Amino acid sequence: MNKFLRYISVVASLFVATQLYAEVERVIITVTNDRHALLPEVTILEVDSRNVVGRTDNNGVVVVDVVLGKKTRFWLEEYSGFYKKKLIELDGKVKDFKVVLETSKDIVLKETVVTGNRKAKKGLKPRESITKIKGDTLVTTCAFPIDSLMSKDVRVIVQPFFLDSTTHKKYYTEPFVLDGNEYHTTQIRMYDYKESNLFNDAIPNIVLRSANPVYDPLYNNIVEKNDSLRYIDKTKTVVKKTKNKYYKDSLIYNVVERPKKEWGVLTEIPMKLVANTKLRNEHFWCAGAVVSFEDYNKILYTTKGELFSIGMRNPMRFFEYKLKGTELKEDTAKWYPVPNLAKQEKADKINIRFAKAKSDIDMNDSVTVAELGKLKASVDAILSDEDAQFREVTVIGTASPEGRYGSNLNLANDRLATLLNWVRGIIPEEKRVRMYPQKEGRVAEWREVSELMRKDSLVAEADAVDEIIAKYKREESRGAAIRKLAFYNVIEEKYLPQLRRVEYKLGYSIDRVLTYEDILRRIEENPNFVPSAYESFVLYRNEKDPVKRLELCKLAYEKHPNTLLFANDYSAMLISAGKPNPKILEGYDVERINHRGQTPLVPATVHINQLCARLLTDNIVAADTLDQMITAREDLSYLNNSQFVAAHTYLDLKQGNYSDDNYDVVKKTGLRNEVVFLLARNTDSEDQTEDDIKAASLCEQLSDTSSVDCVLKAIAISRTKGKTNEKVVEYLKKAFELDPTMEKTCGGEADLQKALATIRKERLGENNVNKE
Amino acid sequence: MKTCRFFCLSIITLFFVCHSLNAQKIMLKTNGLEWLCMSPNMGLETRLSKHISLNIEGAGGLAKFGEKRFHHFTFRPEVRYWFSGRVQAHHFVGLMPIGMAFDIKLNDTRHKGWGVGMGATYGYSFVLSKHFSLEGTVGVGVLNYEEKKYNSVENGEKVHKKVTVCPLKLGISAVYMF
Repeated sequence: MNKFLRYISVVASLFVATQLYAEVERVIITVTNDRHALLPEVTILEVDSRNVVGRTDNNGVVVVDVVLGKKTRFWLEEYSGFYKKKLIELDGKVKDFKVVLETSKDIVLKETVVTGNRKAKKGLKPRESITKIKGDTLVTTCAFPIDSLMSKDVRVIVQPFFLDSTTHKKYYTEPFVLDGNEYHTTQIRMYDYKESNLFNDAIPNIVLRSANPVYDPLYNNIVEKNDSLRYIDKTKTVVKKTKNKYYKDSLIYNVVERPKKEWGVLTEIPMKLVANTKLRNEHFWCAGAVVSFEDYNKILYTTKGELFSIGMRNPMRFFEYKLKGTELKEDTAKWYPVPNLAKQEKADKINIRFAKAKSDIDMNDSVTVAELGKLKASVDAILSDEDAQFREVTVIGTASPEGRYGSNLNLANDRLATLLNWVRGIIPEEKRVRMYPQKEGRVAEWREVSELMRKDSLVAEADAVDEIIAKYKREESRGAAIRKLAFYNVIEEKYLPQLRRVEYKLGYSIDRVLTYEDILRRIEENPNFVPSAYESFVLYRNEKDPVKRLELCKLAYEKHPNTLLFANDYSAMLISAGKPNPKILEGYDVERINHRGQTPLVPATVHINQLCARLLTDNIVAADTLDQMITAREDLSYLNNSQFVAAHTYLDLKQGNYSDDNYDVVKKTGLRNEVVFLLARNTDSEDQTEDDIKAASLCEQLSDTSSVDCVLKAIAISRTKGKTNEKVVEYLKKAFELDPTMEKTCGGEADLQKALATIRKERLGENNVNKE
Repeated sequence: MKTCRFFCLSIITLFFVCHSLNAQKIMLKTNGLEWLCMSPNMGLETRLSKHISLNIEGAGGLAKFGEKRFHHFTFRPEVRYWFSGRVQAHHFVGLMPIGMAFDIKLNDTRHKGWGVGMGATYGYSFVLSKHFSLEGTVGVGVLNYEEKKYNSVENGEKVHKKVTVCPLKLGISAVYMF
C-alpha cells in the first residue's frame, strides 16, 4: 500500500511538472497595412486547430502563444474585408513579428449562409429603419427581436453592415454580441477574464491580452446584462442612466421592450460609418445585418442578411452654405507687415565723349550734351519725390586700349571723377547728404575690337587682329602691332570710340511708407519690381476687382507662405470665392504661435476662417475640434460675429443638431434653406411631423423653375401625402428636365425611392413600346 | 502514518503548484456522497483542451466504530470528454481506471485486499458561477479484486479473488475552479 501511494504521488507530481514546463513562447504580432497604418480588429486564426487565438487591438498588436521550435501557422484576417488574408508561420524564435496586410482590390465579399437546426418561433425580420447623416457619418439603428431563440447558453451575434449599392461594396460595422448568463460564465472561465478588470478602462486591453493570449475575439463587443438588469458595455463605463436608456459616449443602447423576464428584445444597435462627401451624396446606401444564434458548439440560426434601411434621408445635400471669409483687421500693429523704406535703383548707359587724352567733358559735342541731358532727366525724376534721398552713385567708365595701359586707366578714372563731379553738381546738397559716390574705371582690350569687327562681318580684318593678339602677350605690344595694320584708321574711327563709354547706377531711397500709387508706379516703371511684404499687402488690400485682388493676395501668400496675415486673407478670399482650401491655414489651428519673438494668441478671425474652410470641405471632425477651440478662447467678443454664428450653426446642422436656435439662424439665409432644414429635422420617423407639414406649405412659395426646388417639393409631398403621390413623380420629372444631373444627386434619397422606381418603370415601358 | 503524511504532502504541493498555473485550468472538487460514508476525498481536474479534461480523485478512510473498521484508499484517474466544449458545463462521458486498497472489518469478518478496474462514467455539471459548479457522476465497470478474509469465529483465513461488473463511481461533487 505504501508503495502504491508513493507511486500515485510521484505520478501526480510529474503531471504537474509537465504542465509547468511547457515550452511556450509569447510572440507579439504587430499588423499594419502597406501604408504603415496599424490595423485593429485583425483576427488571428490558428490553421491546424481552427481556433481563433486573438484579435489585434487599436494599436494593431496581438499576443499569441507559440510552442518553441514547432512551426505553427496562423491566418490573419481583417474583418472589413478591405485587406487580403495572410498566412504566417511562427516558431517562437522571433518574439516580435511584424505583418503587413495588402489592400484587397479583388475580393468580392460573399455572404456565408449557414443553415441552422433550430427554427425561430417568430420571424427574425428586422425593424425598418432610416439612415441619416450626422457630420461625415452615416448613422442608423438596427433592431431585431431575439427573445424566441435566446436562452442562458446562447450567444447572439449581430453583424450590421452598410451596403453601397452603387459599387456593390459592403462595409461592416462593429458587431454586437449578447451572451446568455451561462454562456457568459463559461466564456469567463475558458478565457480566464478577470472579473475585476471587466469594467475597468484603466487597464488597457493589451494587458489583459498579454496575460491571456487566447481570448474571445468578440470580447470587446459583448454587451452584458448583469444582475441588476443593466446593459453595460464591458469596455466602457456607464456614464449616465435614465429609464431604460444607457448612454455610453455617443452610443445609446435603448431597451425597446422586455417581454421576457430573463431576456428582452434585443436593444437597438447604433450603426455608424464614416464616408466622404462623394460617397455620402452620390452613392446609394442601404443598411442590413446578419444575426446569428449559437450555443457552445454550433450555430443555431442565421439570418441571410436582410436589409432594413433602403436609401438615405439626407435633404441637407440641397442646403446652401452661405459663408464668407474675413480678412484680418484686428491687432493690426501685431499682425500687419512692418512698412519698409523703399530702396530703389536706376541704371543706364550713356555715351559721353571726352577729348582725346583729356579728362574734360566735351560740351561742344551734341551727342554728349544729349546724353548728359538723359542723365539729368533721371536725376530730376528721382528728385521729383520730396522724400527721395540719394544713397549711392556709381559710374563705370571704359577707356579704349590704344596707347599705354597705365595712362589709359588713369585717364579713365579721371574722366569718371569729372563725371561724378558733374552729377554732384546737379543734385542739391540736402539730397546727397548720405550719398556714397563710387567709380570703377577700366581699359578695354584689343580682343573687344576684334569682336566688334567680326560682328560687322570684317572677318579677315578681325582674323588679322586676333593673330596679333595671339602673337603678343602685352596689350601695349598688341597696340603697336595693330597700329601698323593697313585698316587701322577704320579701327580708330569706328571701333575705338565705341569702347569709350560710361555706365551709371543711381541708388536712392524714399524715406516714407510707399502709397498704393507709388507701388503701382514702381511696377509700371520696372516690370521686374518685386514688392516687399508690406507693399504686397498694400497692393491687394487696395485692389477693388475681386479677381485681381485674389491673384495679388495669392502672389503675396506664395512669396511669404509663413505670414499669418497673407495665409488668412488668401484663405478668406478663397472661401468667399467658393473655393475653400483648409490647407492654407493648417498650422494655425493652435492657441498661440511664435510671432516676432513672442507667442501671441492666434486671432479669432483666423480660426473662424479655418472653421469655415473645413466645414465647406466637409472635414467635419476637424471643424468640430476647431469649433470647440474657438468657444473655449479667452476673448469672447467674436461669439457674436456673424461669420462664426453661421459657421457654428452649419456645423451643428452637419452633426445632426436641428435645434430651434439653429432654425432661427437658418431662416435668415433664405426660404430654400428653411425648407431643407425642416425636412432634415425629421430623420427618424416614417410618419409625417409638424416640420414636414410646415416644409410642405413653405414649398408652395418655392419656384418651379429650379430643379432643387422641384426636388424639395417632391420630398415634402412624399412625406405629407404619400410616397407614391402623383405630384411627387411630377415634380421629380420636372426637376430632371431642368437639370438631368439631379437624378443622380437625389438618387439615394429615401423619400423618393418609390417615385424614382415609378419613373424608371415608365421609361422602361416607353422603351419597350418604341422597340415594338 | 508515514505514507499518509507523504500522500498529504504531495496533495498540498500539488494544490500550491496549481495556483501558479494559469487559472481556470485546475479545479478542486470533493464528493459529498463519500463524505456521508465517512470517507474524506478530494479530486483535481485539469483542462487539456476545449473538450477534454483529466480528473484525478482520491478517497481514503480510517473510520472505526467500535469493532467495525473501514480502512480504505481509492485512486481514480479519469479522462473526460465534455460535449459542450466547455469543461465543467453540461454533459460529459469519461474513461476511468480505478485502484483501491481496503481493510474492512464487519461483524466477525475482516476483509483485507486490493482491487483494480476499468470503467466508464457519465456526468452532468451545473454552472453555478465563475468559480463553482455542481457535478453529478455515475460510473460502471469491471473490477478485479483479491482479498483475504479472516473470520474470528471460524478462526480461519481465506483468499478470495474475483472479477466482477459493478458500479465504480457515484458522486455529487462540489467543484471549485481556480
